[in-house]
Amino acid sequence: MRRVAILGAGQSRFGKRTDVRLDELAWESFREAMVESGVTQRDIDSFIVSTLGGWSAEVLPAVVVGEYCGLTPKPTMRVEAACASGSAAVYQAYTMIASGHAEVVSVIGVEKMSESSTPTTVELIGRAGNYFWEFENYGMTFPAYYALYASSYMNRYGATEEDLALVAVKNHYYGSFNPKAHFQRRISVDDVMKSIYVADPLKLLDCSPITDGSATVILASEESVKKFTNEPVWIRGIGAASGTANLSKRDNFLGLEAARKAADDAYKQANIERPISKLDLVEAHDCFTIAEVMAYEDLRLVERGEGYKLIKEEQTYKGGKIPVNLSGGLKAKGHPIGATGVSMIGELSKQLLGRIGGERQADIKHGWALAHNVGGTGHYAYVTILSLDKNGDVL
Amino acid sequence: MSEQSIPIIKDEKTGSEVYVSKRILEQRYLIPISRIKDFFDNLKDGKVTATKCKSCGTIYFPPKADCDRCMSSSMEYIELKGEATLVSFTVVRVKPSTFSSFADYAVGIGRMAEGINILAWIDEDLSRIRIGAKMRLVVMSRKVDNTISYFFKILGHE
Repeated sequence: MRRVAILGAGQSRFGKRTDVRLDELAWESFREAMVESGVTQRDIDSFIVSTLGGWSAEVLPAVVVGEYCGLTPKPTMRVEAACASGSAAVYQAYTMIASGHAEVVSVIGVEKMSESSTPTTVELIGRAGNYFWEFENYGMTFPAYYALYASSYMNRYGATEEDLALVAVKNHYYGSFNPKAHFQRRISVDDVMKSIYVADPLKLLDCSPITDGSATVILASEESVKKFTNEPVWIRGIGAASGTANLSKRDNFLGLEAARKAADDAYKQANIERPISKLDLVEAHDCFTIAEVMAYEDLRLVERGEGYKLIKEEQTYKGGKIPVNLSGGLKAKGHPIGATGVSMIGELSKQLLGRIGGERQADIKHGWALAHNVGGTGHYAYVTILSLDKNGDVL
Repeated sequence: MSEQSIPIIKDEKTGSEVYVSKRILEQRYLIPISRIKDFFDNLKDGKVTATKCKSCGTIYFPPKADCDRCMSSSMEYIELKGEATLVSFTVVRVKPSTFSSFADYAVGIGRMAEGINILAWIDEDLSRIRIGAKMRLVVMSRKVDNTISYFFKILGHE
């Protein structure tokens, strides 16, 4: 297997982007990634588009994006793994390059959620599980699925709604420094506690927003990297797993088994034994505040039941044991489904290279970072590990 | 929208001009149930049943026609006793558009005496629901939409 590196990344401004169509939105991030990497359409062998869709007009987003971005007739496909579609697309591009089938592949994640009304979008995301057995008669919503985990977790470990709110406060804090974030205002625990209940115990400010956005990364083989950059970021491990469609099929509601499996697999590939002492930062899938707390545990940053204490002690802020979501996370940066994983991986590559700057720039001591991207409610999980070094440790 | 021929309006929130598609699609699924029809016949008779593989004994809920463990498709239906313990629950307040006519509803996961979990609504005063509660799974017709399905009722608390 060949090594695979990230040559460049781009991201559109996230938010309610009624000013652009899907293809125009995709172009914003694709253009930025081409500029950063020095890659042009001519250099790209194939492009993968990650979108969940259903709420936006185009049924064949890959070819619509391809035509707009000047990529026709390169081979393409749409990749779907719900909210982890972006990481799944990166995984696909990675395997194409690692296997020798392609040299340079672009991954374009894009989601245009605001083309449908909010109730329709709530409906469609709520169907993302097992439609027949859990939606048709029982009207589940995406917050409701995660609320089942939040109720169980709080009941078992004694975490409170205020503890969960601390995750939202942190991520909005970092979002306030991110000019591309959907929400750029800080909030307090009180703001979260006063927001309306969406699915008890989760309130509106425990939830990530409905967001439009796009993100692109361009990947290349180790042979092709030097043609474009002296500062590649290497993909050193991608772990993936799935969970049951029916939530009733799960043994417990304290953590996401698929995320744990994906993490263990990725750590093994990257030869990481103590992640908290090796990773400089993490982008975690905080679609809801409870999701970030469970991520701390599923990623083995702390033991089971200790996740909420990590945020209480502010250990996931910059300067703490392990900074998480310096981008603002899904919570404040926004969660344009198919773009989210690509945005995480692109963001981390810029973090490792010191290109973020300012309040959000992590201290890069070891040169390692991790993206934790979950699809649905632990239905899909992808964990991607990035490093500044191709083979061994840096520093 | 005015009488103009190009259907463009201003988005209320952002002020951007958007083209309002005139192609309204109604979508209703026709979902096959032939292979687990007995489950619905039993439900009509007031019984919630799971399938049990005649070859290896694995119990399936939701009911399945095919055993993925031993590849047999020979199933029998077993009636669940209905005894359950509440594992977790939520109250859905912001609802999907097709549930907008319903009052806020509680959804729970019950662990059944048979060792399987079931997700269903909990028919109970919302403020009285606690994890660990003993429940009974019952077949009822829901008033709002006259749909017969299975629901949990709370018996008491541990």
